[in-house]
Amino acid sequence: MKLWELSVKSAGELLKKREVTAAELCDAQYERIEAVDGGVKAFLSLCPERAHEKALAAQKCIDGGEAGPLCGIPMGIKDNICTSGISTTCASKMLEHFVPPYDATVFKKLEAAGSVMLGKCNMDEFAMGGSTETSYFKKTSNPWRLDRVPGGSSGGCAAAVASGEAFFALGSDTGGSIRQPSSFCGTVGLKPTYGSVSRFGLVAFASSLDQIGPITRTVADNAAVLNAICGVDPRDSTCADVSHPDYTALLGREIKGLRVAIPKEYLGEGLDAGVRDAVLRAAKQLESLGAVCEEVSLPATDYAVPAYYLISSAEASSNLARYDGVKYGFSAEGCKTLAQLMNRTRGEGFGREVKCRIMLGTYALSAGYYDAYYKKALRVRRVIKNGFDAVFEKYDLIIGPTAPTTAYPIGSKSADPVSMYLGDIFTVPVNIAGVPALSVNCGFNGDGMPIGLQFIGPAFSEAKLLQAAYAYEQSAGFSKMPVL
Amino acid sequence: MTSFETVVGLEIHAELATRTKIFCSCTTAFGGDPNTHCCPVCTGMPGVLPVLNQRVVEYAVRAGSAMNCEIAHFSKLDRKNYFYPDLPKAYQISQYDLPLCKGGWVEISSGKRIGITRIHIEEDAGKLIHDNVARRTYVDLNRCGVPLIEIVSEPDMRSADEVHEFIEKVRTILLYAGVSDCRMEEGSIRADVNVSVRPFGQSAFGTRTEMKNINSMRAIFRAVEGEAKRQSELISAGGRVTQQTRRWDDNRGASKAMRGKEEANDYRYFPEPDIVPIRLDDARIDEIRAQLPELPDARKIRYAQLGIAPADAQIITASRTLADYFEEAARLSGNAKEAAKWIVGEMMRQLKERSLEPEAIPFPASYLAQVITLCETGRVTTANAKNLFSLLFESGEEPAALVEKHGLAALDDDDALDAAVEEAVSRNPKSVEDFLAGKEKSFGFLMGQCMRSLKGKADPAVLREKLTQRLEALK
Amino acid sequence: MADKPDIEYITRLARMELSEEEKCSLESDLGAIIGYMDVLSAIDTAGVEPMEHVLGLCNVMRSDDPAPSSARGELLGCAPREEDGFYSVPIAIDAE
Ligand SMILES: [Mg+2]
Ligand SMILES: [Zn+2]
Repeated sequence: MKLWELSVKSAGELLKKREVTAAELCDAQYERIEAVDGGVKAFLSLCPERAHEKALAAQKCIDGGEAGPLCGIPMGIKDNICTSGISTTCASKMLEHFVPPYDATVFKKLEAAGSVMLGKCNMDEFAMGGSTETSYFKKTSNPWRLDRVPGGSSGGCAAAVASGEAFFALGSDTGGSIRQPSSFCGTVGLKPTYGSVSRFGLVAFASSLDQIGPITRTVADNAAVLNAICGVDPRDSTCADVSHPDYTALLGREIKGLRVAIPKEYLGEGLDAGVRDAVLRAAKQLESLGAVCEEVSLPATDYAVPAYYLISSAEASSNLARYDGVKYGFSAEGCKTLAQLMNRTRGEGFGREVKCRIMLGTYALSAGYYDAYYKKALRVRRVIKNGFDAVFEKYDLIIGPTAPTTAYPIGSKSADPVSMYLGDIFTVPVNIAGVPALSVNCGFNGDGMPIGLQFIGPAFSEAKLLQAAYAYEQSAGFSKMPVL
Repeated sequence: MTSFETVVGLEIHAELATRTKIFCSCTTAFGGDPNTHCCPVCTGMPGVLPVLNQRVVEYAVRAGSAMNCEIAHFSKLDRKNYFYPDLPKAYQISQYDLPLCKGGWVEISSGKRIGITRIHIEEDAGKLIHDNVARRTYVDLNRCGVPLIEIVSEPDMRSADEVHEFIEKVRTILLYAGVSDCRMEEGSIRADVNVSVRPFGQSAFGTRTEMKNINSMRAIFRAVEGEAKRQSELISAGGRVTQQTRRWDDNRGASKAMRGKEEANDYRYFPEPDIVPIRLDDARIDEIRAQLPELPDARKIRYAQLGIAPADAQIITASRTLADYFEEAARLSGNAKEAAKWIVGEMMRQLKERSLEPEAIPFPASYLAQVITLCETGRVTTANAKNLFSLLFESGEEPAALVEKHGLAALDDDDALDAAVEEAVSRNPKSVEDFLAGKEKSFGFLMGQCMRSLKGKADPAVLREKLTQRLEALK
Repeated sequence: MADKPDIEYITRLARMELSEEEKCSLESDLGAIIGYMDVLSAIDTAGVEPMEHVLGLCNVMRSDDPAPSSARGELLGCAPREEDGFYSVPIAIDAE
C-alpha cells in the first residue's frame, strides 16, 4: 500500500510506531500531487517549504510522545479559509493577491494539533456553485473521470482527498458544498450543526448558513477531524457554547434499533434511477444491521431551494459589498472618481455567477421586495426547520440521496441556472434548518461514478450520525480509490 | 404675510465612553496616527466577525432609562447597506425595527416634554480627507466601530431655542449617566436636524428637510433658524418645500440640496446574521438602571428642599461634576445654602474668567467646605474669603495654609480694634458730628475707615459693635 | 409578484459596472430565477415568524477590555494603494 492511500487513522498509527516520519508523509503527498494534480487540478496553491517545517515540528511532538491523532498528517484547506501569510483567494480575481494577516480559528486548531497544510484547494468563486467551474483560476476534475466535475463548491477539497493528494481537507458548506462534492468524488463529507465549528476566518458567503467541516476518505477520519475543529470561539458569536463529546466514541457500536426516516420527497421526480437504487439498497443494508427504516414526509422540501437562494444571496450581497477596491484585493486601474473605482472594481473583479447572486440578493432586499422575498424566505425557513423537528421527534436520523445525480461532464450544466440550483434540493434544507448531515459513498453507477448517501440528524447529533455512517461504511465497504 | 411655526425633530448621535470599540477590542481613544486604532475586524477584512461589546448595551440601556424610555426585552442588530469608503464593510451594523430603547421623554425648563422615539446602538464610520488638488480621498479608519447611540426625538421642538435646550439637556443627562463624554469638538455628539414649517394653527406637519451630521451647538441653532426661514420664504412666495437631504454650510449660513443621492435611501436593512439577539429580563434591566446616579431633575427637587433657589439649582445641576462637588461641600460644611452661594457666585465667576470646565476645578470640595467654616466662625472675613478663594484657584494649597501664609485671618485682638476705632473717631470729627446729628450714612464711612486701617482683617460684626459703643458714648 | 427586475437600479445599488452584453444575459437569468422564486407564494406562512437564527442563541457578548490593534503595515499592506498611512482612493466627488 502506498503512503498516500492510507487513512488518517492508519497513517497516524504508522507515525506513532515510527514506521514513517511526518516528513516522509509530507513528501509522499507532494509526490502524489506532482504525479496527478496536473490532471485533477485540485490545488490553487502549494506551500511545500512551510509544510516541511511544520512536518519537522510535528515529528518533534511525535517523538516526544505528545502527538494527537492528527499530528503530522498532511491536509488541504479550501481557499476561502484564511491562512495567515498564505494567499486566500476564494478562487476569485477579486482576491487573487490577498494574503490575510490572520488565521481562521479552525486552521489554528488544526495546526495546533500538528496537521500539516499542503496547500489551498480550488472551489467555486466565493463558494457559489456546485461544480467548481466558477473558479476564476481553473476547473478541477473529478478523480474518477477527469472529464467530469468534482462537484462544488468544495470541489478541490473533495478531489484532493479522493485522489490521494491529501489525507483530509477542510471545506465549507452553505447549501451542500461539502456533501455534494463528497457525493460526486466518493469521499466522506460532514456539514456540522450550525454553531458547532467556528466561522472566524471563513470568508463569508451566507453567514447564517455557512459552516466548515471535514472531507475525508473514511468516517473514522471524519470524526477525528471534527474532534479537532469543533468548539466555542470567542471570536464567533454564533458559535454555540456546548460541550462536544468525543466524536469517535460511538464508532463501532452497533445500530440495532436505530430509527431511520426516508422522506418520500427525497426519492421523487428528478432523481437519477441509479442514485435511487443505491439509496434504497443502502436502506436495506441499514435494516440488515438492525435499523428500522420508514418512509416519512418532509412536505416543505420543494420550497427549500427558492428559500435557500433568497436567503443566501441576500446575505451574500451584503457580505461581498466590502470588495470595493479600497482596502484589499483587486482594484480597477485608471479610475478618476471613487464611484468609478467601486463600480469598475466590482464589475471586473467578480465572475458571472457571483454577480448573478449579488443581484438576486440586492433585489430580494430592496425596497418593495423585502417582504415578498427575503422575509417570506425566513418564514419558510421556520416551516422547514419545524418539518425536521417533527421527524426527529420520532426518528433518530433521516437518510436519502446527497445529490439527485452523479458527477456530470464539465461544461454540461452551466446554461440553465434554475436546473443548476435544483441540484441542491437535498442538501439545502439541512443548512436552512442548521442541522448536521454527512455524505458517505453508497456505491457507483454504471459509469463508475460514486453515489452519495446522506445522513441527516437533529442539531448536535454528529456522534450518532458518525456512528450510523461508520456502521454502514464498515458493512457496505466501498473503499476503492480512483485509478489515476 | 402668514407667520410660520417651526417644527424640529432631531437624531442625535452620541459616542459612548467605552474603552473599546463596539465589535472589536481596539481602543476608542481619540486621535492617534491614521489607521493605528484598527484591526481586521473594524477594517472589515474578509472572514472576520463582529463580537458585541457588553458595555455598549449597558450604556445604551442606562441612557434610555435616564430618558424615561421603555427598554426592550428582545432586541437585535441589523445591517444598513450602502457604499462609502469610510464604511469598510459597506454596511453599518445598526438597529432597525427592534431598538434597545423606545418611547421616552426629556423635560425642558418650560416643563414641556420632548418625546424620545427611540434610542439604538450602532457603529461609527471612519474619516475622509479630500484633496481637491491631487483629486484623491484619504481614508482613516480609526473611528470605525466606535460605539454610538442614536437618539431619535419626536418632532416636538418649535424653535431653535427649544432645540438648543433639548440638546443641552440630553448632553447633561448623558454626562450624568456616565455613558458619553459628549465632547462636541471631538465629534462625540452630533445631530441630524429635521426641519419643517407650517402656518400657526395648522395641525398637519409641513414637508420636512433633513440636514445631516451637524456637530456644533451654534451650527445646529443657526441651521434650524436658517432652514425655517428658507422654507417660510419659499412657501410665502408660492413655492413648495421638497423632501430632501440638505447640507448645512455654517460659513455661508445657508443649506444646499445634496445631489445624486436618490438611491441612498434604499439601505436594504436586514437582520445581522453574525450577531445573535439581545434579551434583557426585568432583573437585568433593573440591575443596569441601578448604575444610574440621581439625575438633574431629581436633584433640583432635593436642592429646593435644602432651601436652594431654583435658578441656583439649575446652574449647579447643569453639570454632574459641579452638582457632585456642591453636594460634597454642603455635606462637609453642613451649610448647603452657603455652598450653593459660593458655587453659583465665586466658583462660576472664576471658572468663566479662566475658561475652565467644572472638571478642571483645581481643589477638592473639602477646601470649599473649609472656607465656609472659616467664614462662619469668623476666622476669615467675607471680603478676605473671596481673596482666599482666588488663591485656592491659583495655588491649590490648603485653605488653612493660605490663610496663614497670606495673613488673612480675622483679628481677634481687642486692643487693635479699639485703637482703630479711636483713630477713626479722632481723625474724622466732621463725620462723627454728622452721625450724632442723625446722619446714619456717616456710620458706614467710619466703619470703612476702621476696616481700612485694619486691612480688612476684622470681623465686621465685632468691629460694628465696638464702633457703635464708642459713638454712643459721645452722645 | 414577479416584477421584471430593474437591472439598472439593481446594478446601481450593488455598485457593479456591467457590459451591455453582461447586462442582457444577467437580466434574462435573473428574470428566470426570480420567476422561479415565486413558487414561494404557494406556501402558506400566515402566523409563522421569520427565523433569522437557527440556534436561538442570545446575549453573546465580550467584555470591554482593550487588546492591541494591528500594526498599521499589516492592514495597509493589503491595500491596493496607500499614502502616508492612509488608504488612498480617487476623490469622492459627492463629498464636495
Ligand atoms: Mg444611524
Ligand atoms: Zn478593531
